Amino acid sequence: MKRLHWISPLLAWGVVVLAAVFIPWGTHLILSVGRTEDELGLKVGWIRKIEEIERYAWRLGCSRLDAVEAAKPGDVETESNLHERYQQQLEAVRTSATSDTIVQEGLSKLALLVARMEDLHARGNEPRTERSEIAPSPAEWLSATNAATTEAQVLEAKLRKDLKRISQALSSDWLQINLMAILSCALAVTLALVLFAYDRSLKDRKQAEEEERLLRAELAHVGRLSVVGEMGTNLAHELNQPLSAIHSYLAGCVRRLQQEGGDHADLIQAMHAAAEEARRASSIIQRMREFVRRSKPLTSTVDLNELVREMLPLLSGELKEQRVQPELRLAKALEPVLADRVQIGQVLVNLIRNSLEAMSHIPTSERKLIIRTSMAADHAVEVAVEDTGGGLSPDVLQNLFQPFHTTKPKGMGMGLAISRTIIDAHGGWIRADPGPGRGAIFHFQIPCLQRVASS
Amino acid sequence: MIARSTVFIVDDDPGVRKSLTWLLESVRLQVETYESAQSFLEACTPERPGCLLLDLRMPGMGGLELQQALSAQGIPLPVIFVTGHGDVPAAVRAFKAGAFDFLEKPFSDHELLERIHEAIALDTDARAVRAQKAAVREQVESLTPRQRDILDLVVSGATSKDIAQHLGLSLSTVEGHRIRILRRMGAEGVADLVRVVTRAEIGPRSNGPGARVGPKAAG
Repeated sequence: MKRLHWISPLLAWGVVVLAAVFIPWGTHLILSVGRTEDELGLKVGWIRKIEEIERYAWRLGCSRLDAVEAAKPGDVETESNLHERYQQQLEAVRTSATSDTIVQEGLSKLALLVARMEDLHARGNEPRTERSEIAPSPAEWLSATNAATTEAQVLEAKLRKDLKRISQALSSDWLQINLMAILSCALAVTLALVLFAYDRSLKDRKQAEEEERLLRAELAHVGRLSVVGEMGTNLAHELNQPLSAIHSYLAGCVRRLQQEGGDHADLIQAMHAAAEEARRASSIIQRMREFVRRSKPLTSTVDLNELVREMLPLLSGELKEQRVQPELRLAKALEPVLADRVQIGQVLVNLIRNSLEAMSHIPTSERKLIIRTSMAADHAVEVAVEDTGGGLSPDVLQNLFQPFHTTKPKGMGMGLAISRTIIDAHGGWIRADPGPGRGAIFHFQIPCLQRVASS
Repeated sequence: MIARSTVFIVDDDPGVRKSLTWLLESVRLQVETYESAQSFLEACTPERPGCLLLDLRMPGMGGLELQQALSAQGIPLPVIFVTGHGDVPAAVRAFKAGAFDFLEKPFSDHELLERIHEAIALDTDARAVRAQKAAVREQVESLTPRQRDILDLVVSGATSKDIAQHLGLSLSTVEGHRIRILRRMGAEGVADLVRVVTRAEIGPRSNGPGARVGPKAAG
């Protein structure tokens, strides 16, 4: 039943460890993906711009080559527009990639090459003067254009290589993120399932325990009813005592009043005594009713000395019938136990009646009943009921606490079985031993409140 | 006799003892209570008249045992058993042992008082009879052996002549003894003498001469 208790700390630790691992890992991954994506965007932007620069260089080169071949001036307006855009792109890449040395180097090389082209262009645009001979030749244009575009392509290729690396890292990050998400989902589901199962098993166990408790209480109740049934005539005798006393008191009062010779104070005293007897009768009924009441099991702190004294009046009829005056040897300092008062009272009644029954065949002078309470080792209270009856043969001793095992002509043989069930449920034990001379000692122990609290 | 009759109550329950005392004193009965059979057995004497109200079931010595002990000690109190739970075997045993009555609680006060008065009356009568018997016995004891012989023969119905012949005495001697016997016993005549002696249940001495004379119907 208690095997599942290790689960709840384990679950708690599992949750803590998962949180400690998954939260930093996840945060790291998400941040890194963000950074990588930014970088990727930046690099893609650079590539676009460098492509534009390349296009500019190419177009400038082509347009000049065409112009040179056609021996006419190029489209100045378009060219100046292109130049402007080229400057913008160059500037944009330069400022945004200040920390990237490869790009910076590439750019400065490119810028030099383009500057050379523009220089060629500027030379070509001058009026055909003495410098016309130094007007750039198509071959010059071609090589300048090729150099610029090649450089742009080299830079672009470098960037694309970077881009590839970055996107690879990015996809690996995403892979990790997905993996983590799947893993944590799976773990969460498992955790939830385990928790659910644990909760269910707890509930089932609680329910089973509750059912068992109620069943035991019901059994004990039936046991008490049968005990009271067996004690019926003796209980009636107990009630008859105060009732006949009341009758005698009142009849005496009536006679005195009829004779008009009664002393007032005496009459009052007798009536008081009658009232006291009525109270005694009602307390007997009260105690009996408490004993047979169908009650839910109710644990409270119980002083066993007090309980012994409370149960004896219920049995006084039987004690008298057997001419037995019980000898009480109650421990002075007895720790309270946590118990169901009525049920432990029932065990006491069972044991005492058992002893009386055992002594019914021996002469009255030899009958002796000792009820003892004491503190036992390991914070338990022991109660012993000792008699001088016929004792217990080993055969009887073996089956003593089995249900329906009886040596009595009347009785169901449930008393001791029920007693053991009750004591077991209280976490104690009950046992029978041979008495010091003849007879038997029945004793039981129940753990004290202190032991119950500390465990 | 001179001592007043007492109702002895033996019950282990103080409530029952006190309430019965209260009830019985209301009809001016003298009551003494004892909480156990032992304490009563130690305190009681055969001389005290009255009756015993006895609880059947008590721890230690019970009512039936006390009854037996009392009859063993020759204490002739009539016993009224009082019980809250009367079972038939116990009642049978009580009556066999000579109980006066067996009352089961709850009983009415009338019934109880009636039975107590009857028991006391019985006890008083029995004591009177016993006292009378004792007196007769004492008178018989005070006779001389010769006179005793003659008394036995007179009671067994022998005439003076038979007696004289039987004892080898003269008729006048026998007559003289008869007159002295009558005077000593306070009897008015032979018939009265025979009645008194018979009621006192004084048999003829087994070794006396009367044993040899066949018994005849006494006057």
